[in-house]
Amino acid sequence: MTLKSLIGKEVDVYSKHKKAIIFVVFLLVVSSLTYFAFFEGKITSRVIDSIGFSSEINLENSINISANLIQPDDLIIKGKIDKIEMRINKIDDFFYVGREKFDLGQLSETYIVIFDYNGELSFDKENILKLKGKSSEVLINGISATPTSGDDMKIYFDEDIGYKFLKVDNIFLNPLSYTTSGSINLNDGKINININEEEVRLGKFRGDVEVYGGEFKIEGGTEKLEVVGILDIKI
Amino acid sequence: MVRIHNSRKVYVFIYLMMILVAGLIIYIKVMELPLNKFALMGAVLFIVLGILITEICRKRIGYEITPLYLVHLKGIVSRKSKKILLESIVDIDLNQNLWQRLLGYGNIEVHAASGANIIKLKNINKPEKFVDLLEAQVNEIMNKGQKKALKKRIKA
Repeated sequence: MTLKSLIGKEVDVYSKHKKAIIFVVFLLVVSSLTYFAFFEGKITSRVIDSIGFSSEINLENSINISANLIQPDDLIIKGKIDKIEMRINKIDDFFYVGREKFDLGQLSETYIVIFDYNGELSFDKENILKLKGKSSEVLINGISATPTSGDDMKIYFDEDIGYKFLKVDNIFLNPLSYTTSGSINLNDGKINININEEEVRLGKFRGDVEVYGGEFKIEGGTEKLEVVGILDIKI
Repeated sequence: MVRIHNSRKVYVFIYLMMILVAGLIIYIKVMELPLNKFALMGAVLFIVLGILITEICRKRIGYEITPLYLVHLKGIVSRKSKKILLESIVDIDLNQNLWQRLLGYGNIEVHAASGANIIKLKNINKPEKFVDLLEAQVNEIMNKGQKKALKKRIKA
């Protein structure tokens, strides 16, 4: 039995062309909603991987780095982060966690811990410029917030939030290049250098980052480190 | 006077599409998945236009049973109408395919005595009821006509 015989000619109020257009529009709407909801990140990362900009580095075959430097002007981190800890200043704004919002103006200081974060985090020397993503659990001054439905919950700040301390565990950083001062320790103390206003070029990095009072501490593995004119190490 | 339009059941596939799109938006919202602004706007536009266009198409064609005529009306702004005198109706056909029977709507063909004058009433909800109503109206007029004729004969 064909569809035509089942539906019949008489039902054909719209012409075949109109029906086809409506169906194509429907498919476009559904596929765009589905794409942005389920696949956008995955497909983008697959494309990035396929053209050689993989966000992964092999930590076993990397340069072990521990550095205490002056903080770069700003930093953008996208993707999965195991844990974010932050101590933020009193501000008349809200921190949105799932369907709840927490007033950050009630206490002089708020200590937030975010677990299994997936999203975007960007910050400069004074403010968290963007925090928007999903998390499995959030602790706000020791009080736990977990998703009601069992999946991850959406978390975000509406505006820039001033912070005193920020620690991010197990993150990936894209190659970074800036002029800084401080100390760099490589491969468990085998190489130790102090730099003063030198240009540092750090390759892809995976590890922990801590920011406190303008200090920028990193600990993890990198594929490359260059202190221009002084040191150049690659894997 | 009875006025009817095409059945909404004709647009069942379009309504299903709109329900699917609305359901998908609700699911994305409930599961707190990323909802793209432009995709959402497109979806809302699809639903709103879907409702508007189907309603306009439905209201564009109407059928009226007046005390004397069966009228076929076409158009919203500009209008066309076709009338058949109820007295002249000699035959009423009801056609339903499988899909129409399942959903309870169908097409009716009304034939006038002249032969050439036919009104096709497409996609009428509960067509049996409409046919019964039309037949009752036609019979009523016929009976009135017969009574008049009988009175005339008696007088004569």
